[in-house]
Amino acid sequence: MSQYLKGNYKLEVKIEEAQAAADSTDAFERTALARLGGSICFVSKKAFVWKGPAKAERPEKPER
Amino acid sequence: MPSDLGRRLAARLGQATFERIAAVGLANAEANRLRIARSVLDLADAPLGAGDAAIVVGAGPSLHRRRSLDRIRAARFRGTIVAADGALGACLRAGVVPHVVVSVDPHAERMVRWFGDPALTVPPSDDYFRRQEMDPSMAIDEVAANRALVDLVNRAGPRIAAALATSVSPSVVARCGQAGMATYWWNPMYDDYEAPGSISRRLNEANGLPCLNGGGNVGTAAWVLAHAVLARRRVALVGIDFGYPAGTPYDKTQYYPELRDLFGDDFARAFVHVDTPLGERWFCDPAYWWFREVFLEMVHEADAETVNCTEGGVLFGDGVPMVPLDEFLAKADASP
Repeated sequence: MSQYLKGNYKLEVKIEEAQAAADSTDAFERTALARLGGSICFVSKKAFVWKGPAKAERPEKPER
Repeated sequence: MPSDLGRRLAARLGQATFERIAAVGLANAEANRLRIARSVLDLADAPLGAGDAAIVVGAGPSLHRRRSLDRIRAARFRGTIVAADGALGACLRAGVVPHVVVSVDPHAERMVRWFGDPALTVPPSDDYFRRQEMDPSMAIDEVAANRALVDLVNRAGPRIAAALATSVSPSVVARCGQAGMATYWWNPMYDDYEAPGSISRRLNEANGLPCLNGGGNVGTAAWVLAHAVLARRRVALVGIDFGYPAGTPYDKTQYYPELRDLFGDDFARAFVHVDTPLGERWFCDPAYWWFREVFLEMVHEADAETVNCTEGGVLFGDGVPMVPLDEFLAKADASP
């Protein structure tokens, strides 16, 4: 449709793109997250205890 | 939905936690390097209670609401007791000396307070301990409570093994040594040890210590230690709430200052509200919700039965039955 509907006027306000708003929200949440984490990491689908490559006496726990 | 924001934030806290603690944790590992003597794996052969049952003690509000420690003491539980550092004071005040205390948080000043800080003579400007429910004694007279804790820890220290992550502040290491605790070390698992350039792998190569998958918080790390290092086959949780009972003022919650700064008057949107099987309503901040989700993922891979005897909180679901503490204690007492 845009090839048929052309404005013959100029807007005095800037229309923010929806994507820009989403990016802003995302940036805000990233800032928030940096302050809200835990005190130790969690590594998904890995063993409870990893003794190191040379010290694994038996196969590690099944991958989660 | 008010809780959508909290759940959405929680889903992204894995990476955020790495960014929050990895640098300081690694710096502490380097600072602690010369103090490291024993691996936490050595604890597997240590005499830490009888039988194959263990109780993991966290510092959640149910610990006081349900008088869990008084009941453990009254039952003369003979199994292994593993305490998160935040619960150490409550344990000792209740006359329960844990076999092991676990510490992991790399914060430079706060964590030593869980062990009693002999250097504290005036109330600190940081209201972290006064403000929260984790240790109610701190809210009344912080300096006096600290002084009493110093004495308690000094008396019990020689009977407690400290399972310290290499990420802890050197002030915690010094305090444990001063109190006569034997220290046993482990690395926090920071990332996939099989990935190229893995930090966990490099750390293991540098100090030879095992890496423990900590699940986001010290309570979960203590549970991992109980079943995956100490090989206890039946593990009960107390004080592992991962939340706050309805009615708790928001300003008494752990992440309140951060949430208030970030969301202003709209901060309550970030909390997740939960109706529990016990007929109670609880709420938690995004971090606690993440801890819950992680625990529910981890529990399915454990070679142990886990029962939640917290009698409160938001940790329930497949693999984590809620069991009355007295029932667990009675069974543990009956086992050979």
